[in-house]
Amino acid sequence: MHIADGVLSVPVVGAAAVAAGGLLWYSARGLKAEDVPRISLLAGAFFVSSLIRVPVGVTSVHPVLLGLTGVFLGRRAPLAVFLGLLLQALLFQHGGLTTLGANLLIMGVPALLAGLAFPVLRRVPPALRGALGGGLAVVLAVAVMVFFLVLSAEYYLNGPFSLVYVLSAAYLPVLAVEAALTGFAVRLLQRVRPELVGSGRRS
Amino acid sequence: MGVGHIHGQDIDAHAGLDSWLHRWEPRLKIAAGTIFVVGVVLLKSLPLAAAAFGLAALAVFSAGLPARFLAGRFLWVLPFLSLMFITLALGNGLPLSAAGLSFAALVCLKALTAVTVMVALLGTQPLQALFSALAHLRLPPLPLTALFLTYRYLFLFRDELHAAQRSLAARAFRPGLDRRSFRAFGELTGTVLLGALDRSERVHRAMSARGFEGRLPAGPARAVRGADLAKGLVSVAAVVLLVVLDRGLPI
Repeated sequence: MHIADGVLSVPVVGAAAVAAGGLLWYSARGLKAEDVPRISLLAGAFFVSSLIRVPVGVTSVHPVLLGLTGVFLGRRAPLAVFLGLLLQALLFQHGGLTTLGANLLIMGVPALLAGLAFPVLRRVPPALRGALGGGLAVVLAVAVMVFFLVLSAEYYLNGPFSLVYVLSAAYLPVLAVEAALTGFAVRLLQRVRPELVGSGRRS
Repeated sequence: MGVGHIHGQDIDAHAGLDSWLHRWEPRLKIAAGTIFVVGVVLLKSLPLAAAAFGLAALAVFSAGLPARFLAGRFLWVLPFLSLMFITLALGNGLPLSAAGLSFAALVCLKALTAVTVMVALLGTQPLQALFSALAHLRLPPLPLTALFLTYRYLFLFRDELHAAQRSLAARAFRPGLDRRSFRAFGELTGTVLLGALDRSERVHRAMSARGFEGRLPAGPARAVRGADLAKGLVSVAAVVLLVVLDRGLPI
């Protein structure tokens, strides 16, 4: 889900950076020292959970857990995504510097929306609610990514096997894995910590 | 299914060497590296992008970082870049599209140059020194503290996940692509996250008890010397020159 430096056109990079700044401002507004450990530890746990590898054919996919990030962190989810992106850039040089803004929008917006959608869906059985939230977050993330690519260069949309089509198809296994894992995770949370995945207290 | 590693060699594996990049004050190095990457992204000409890549690679090698190390850092961007190359070259079927190919080459060069600059920037001091340089850059302190804490706890959660995987294996669990495996890994994910949430309460109490008010103490900043400034000026001038040539402006 990472776009590297140089892939997007300069206007797209600039506009995405500005929009991402706004998202980050919204997400970090009113941040207090006491919020920092919760956000950091959850960001770390999400980062590490994406190390789970699911073999698919010759390759393997890893979950991104965007839906769960939204569930656990609510409005702070984009901030946690940003921390994860920064660390990936620092530790692996994965993701790009100029595309930090675009990447934050690709993953931060779906996480935020998934978090907002969860209380609305509280009548849906938990496993299905998790699968829906997790799956739709991936669909939305891919949609934002495709949007940026198409805006950047027409080459990305050229021909029947264009980058955009192939890339979208490549995310189908991610979608399945994400939906399944989030579904089971939410079912567990519903049993042990119901206030987290539906109505009730949310910080 | 399994749990991967935070793999590859550590980015600061070669931080102990001595070179002009290692001696460069980290704050100026961060600023100059970032400006360089922004400049590279602005380039439209293939030869100039190649020149930028050459400069970045030269910087990495002159600092004594091995070529294998640099190549290892390319692994993350290669899947996307190769996919892009194939689809841009063949997306319209045969014959290969020349315009598509040169566009793909330009994007690849820029992406690899950016990674190379980041390796030059991040690989030439211990990560700890980098974090403390960031603390002296007058960035907002709370997100910075959060970044540092996140980094600290990565390794703890990774070990937790590996331990859980070992105990699953010890109980004859054979992961596959079936409902049981997804359930095991889904619930494992939920457990790790809940553990992190609960632990953060304890961490917060422990930190408050030690006087935490949102800012982690950082040592004094390294003094900026003339040589640091000169290195910054030269690298910024180099990338400005590339961008000016790229736009065909008279110098």
